[in-house]
Amino acid sequence: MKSGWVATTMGTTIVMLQACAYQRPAEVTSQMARTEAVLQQADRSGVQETALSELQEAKNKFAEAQTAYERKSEEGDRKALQLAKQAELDAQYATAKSQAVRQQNSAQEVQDGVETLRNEARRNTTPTPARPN
Amino acid sequence: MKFSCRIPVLACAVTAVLAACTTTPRQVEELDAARAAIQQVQATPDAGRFAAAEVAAANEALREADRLMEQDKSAAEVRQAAYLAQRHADIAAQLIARGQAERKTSEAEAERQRVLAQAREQEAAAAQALAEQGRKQAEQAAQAAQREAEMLQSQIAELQARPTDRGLVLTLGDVLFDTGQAALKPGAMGTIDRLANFLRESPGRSVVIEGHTDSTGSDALNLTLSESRASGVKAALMQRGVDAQRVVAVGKGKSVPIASNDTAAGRQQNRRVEIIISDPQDVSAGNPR
Repeated sequence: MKSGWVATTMGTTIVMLQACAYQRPAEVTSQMARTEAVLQQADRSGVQETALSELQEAKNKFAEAQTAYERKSEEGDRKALQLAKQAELDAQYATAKSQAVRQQNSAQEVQDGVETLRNEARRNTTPTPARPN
Repeated sequence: MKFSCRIPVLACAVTAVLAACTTTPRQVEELDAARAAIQQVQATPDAGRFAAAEVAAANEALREADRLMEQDKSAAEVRQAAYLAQRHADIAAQLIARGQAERKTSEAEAERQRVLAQAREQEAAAAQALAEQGRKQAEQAAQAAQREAEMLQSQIAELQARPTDRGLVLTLGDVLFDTGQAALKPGAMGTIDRLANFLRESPGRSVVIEGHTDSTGSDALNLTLSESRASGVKAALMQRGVDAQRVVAVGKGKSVPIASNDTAAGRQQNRRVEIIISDPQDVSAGNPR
């Protein structure tokens, strides 16, 4: 009988400890904030114009992370941290891709401009038919 | 990730259970893919220049994944690390692409400046060539005028005309006419040809033809004869295409002797036709035909 009481007490203690012992690690909250900031920055930089699907992937992942984060459980936070880390790099990738595409476009524009200029110069300097003297 | 409040006993139990019923992943596909991606991006010539930090981050994430593999961590944990490594490699590739595009842009800008400068140079050269052409044409015109003047000089010399206050004076002697006749002898035709030629090439000049006689015979006869001879010369010029308006024929009779009428030689000198060629008027001498 006595041992049964002890077991019950221990069981209750463990449950109580588990319930009130979970403290959310600071890393999770700071990661969530960092990912959100990167996503906001991407939105402000117009990343969606040239890397829409990549940015959308990052946003979806972050939304999933937020849902997990809301559960306020160890398991939820584990998932939130994992997804938020991925979403942060996804957003950085979308941003880098967008910048690369824009830079490539502008390089092409300048090159086209040079070609146009070169053609004009060629036309202007084509010698006029010499008049017989 | 270490959760501070985890109860050691429980943790041990969970670890033991996990170790027991999950086989350690010998191979994680994502990790291999990430490793390949990192190797590829590292091999890009501009990697060090445009994406050194990102490549370093990728390698760091890859080492973490490898470490998790060595520690027999779960496949999920390894995959997470591999995913992050892969993403760093992707970002590095984009940074390199951006850097290369930036370099291309600045090269194109430089090329643009070069083409512009070249175009300006060519324009200047074209303008100079045009000026040179104009100068040459002017030079040629001047040379043509010079030739014209020289030709005129030689023609004048050929005509054996002598310059006087009245202009160039050409004298056709008595021997070119039959005695008492107005018609020109064939021997005069060479001189008339040259004169007509000269007048055609010098449109600004006109001529006055004066007939002269010696004092022998009546005044009336001499005047008539001198007029007839002058008219004969005018007719000969007109036949050769000289405009009648440029030729005035007058008879002076015996009124303007150039030598004494007392000797035969003097009288012969006085019997003559003088052709006075005016200096060019209105139409400039150098004007090409």
